[in-house]
Amino acid sequence: MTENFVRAGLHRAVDGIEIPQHLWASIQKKHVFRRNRRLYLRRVGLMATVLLIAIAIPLGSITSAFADDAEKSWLLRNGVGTFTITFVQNIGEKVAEITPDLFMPTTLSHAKQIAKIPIKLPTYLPEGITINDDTPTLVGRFGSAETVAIRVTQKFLTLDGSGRTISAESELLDIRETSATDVTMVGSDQGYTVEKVKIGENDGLIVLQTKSSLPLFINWSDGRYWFRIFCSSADRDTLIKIAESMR
Amino acid sequence: MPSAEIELIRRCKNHDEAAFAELYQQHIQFAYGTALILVKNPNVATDVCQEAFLKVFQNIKRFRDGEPFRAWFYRILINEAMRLTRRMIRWPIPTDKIPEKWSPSANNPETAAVSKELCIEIWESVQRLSPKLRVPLVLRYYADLSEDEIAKTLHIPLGTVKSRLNRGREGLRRIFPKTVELLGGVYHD
Repeated sequence: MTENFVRAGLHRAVDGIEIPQHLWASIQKKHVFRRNRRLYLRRVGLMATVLLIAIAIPLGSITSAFADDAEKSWLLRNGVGTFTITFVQNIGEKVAEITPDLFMPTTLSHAKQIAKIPIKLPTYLPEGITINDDTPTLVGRFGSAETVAIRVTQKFLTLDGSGRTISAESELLDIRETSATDVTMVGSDQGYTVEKVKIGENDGLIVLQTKSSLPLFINWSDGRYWFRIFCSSADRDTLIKIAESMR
Repeated sequence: MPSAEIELIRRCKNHDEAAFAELYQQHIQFAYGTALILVKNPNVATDVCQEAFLKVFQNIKRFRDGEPFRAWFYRILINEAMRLTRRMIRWPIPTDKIPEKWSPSANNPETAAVSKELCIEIWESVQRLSPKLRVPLVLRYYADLSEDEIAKTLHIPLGTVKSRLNRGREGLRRIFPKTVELLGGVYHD
């Protein structure tokens, strides 16, 4: 009884009030408008995505081209100012490079005092090449990694293309040692071949020029540090002999 | 849920415009009445219904088959009504819109026994209840939702619905002395 009267009262109150005739037409109109708006926004979003992908593809190509340039230039980075150390990780597949963010040109005696790693030196060197306390040495830091480069060069006078006499410098010996383990991988370089060698008990790799078979450098690790040696006048066996004499 | 309603909703999910119109025709009467009782203003009740139906049409694919459709629909409707009346604008009951004479339908013969003045007093009594008690009362006695459907509409336990309906009825007795007689009881303060 109670519920029936509440129900009856509420129905009596509102059921006689007419529903606006235009309501359904208005709902239909807005429904179509909102659906079209959603479709429009979806299409705009799709177009934006397509545009983004279209822009990203050439960007990817630029990145790739840049990487190719970096790959080709890795052996040219042996000047004093760049101080790049290169390791061949796998035969013909991976090359690791470390470019220190800080380097200090100094002498060997000073380098021995400031370097955080013990500097190993070869006890055997080919005739005409010597290392002493004044030998130019670079100490580089890359994060927590310490790298030392000992460079023996020969200066001489020569003529340039216009006939003028200029002073030139050629590299005779380059010994590099690093404690770096975290290295950046780049692709292999064309025009060089790599072979496995033994440096004492350790495995090493020797990089040779493909055309002449002349060694460019040799690198290996003693389990704690990585080493790389370049010697301009050394053949394959001489280079291995220098490496094995490192103490 | 009846199989005809399941089929109708399936058609709505496939963007059948005729099915939308049918769904509107089936629910507009009680939806408009419910909104009107809650917001009291015919224009606002129209806006509430419009937004509720638009949201139903837009989100019909989210409706899970097997759930009671009325519970889902009235949840949207109540939310819209609450959203549009959140600014606490208190409209008066549109007494001029209520017809003097009323021909009750065969389904509601009791309405013949209720005069215009009495139905206004009942409406006013319902309005004085707090929204927590008012909404379940309107859904139960006007929209004719079951207690279980009200629980699903308002996301509250069934026991809470029963308790609120009891408290709503009790509230009506306190607010309106004439209703006390109608509801068949004596209120002692």
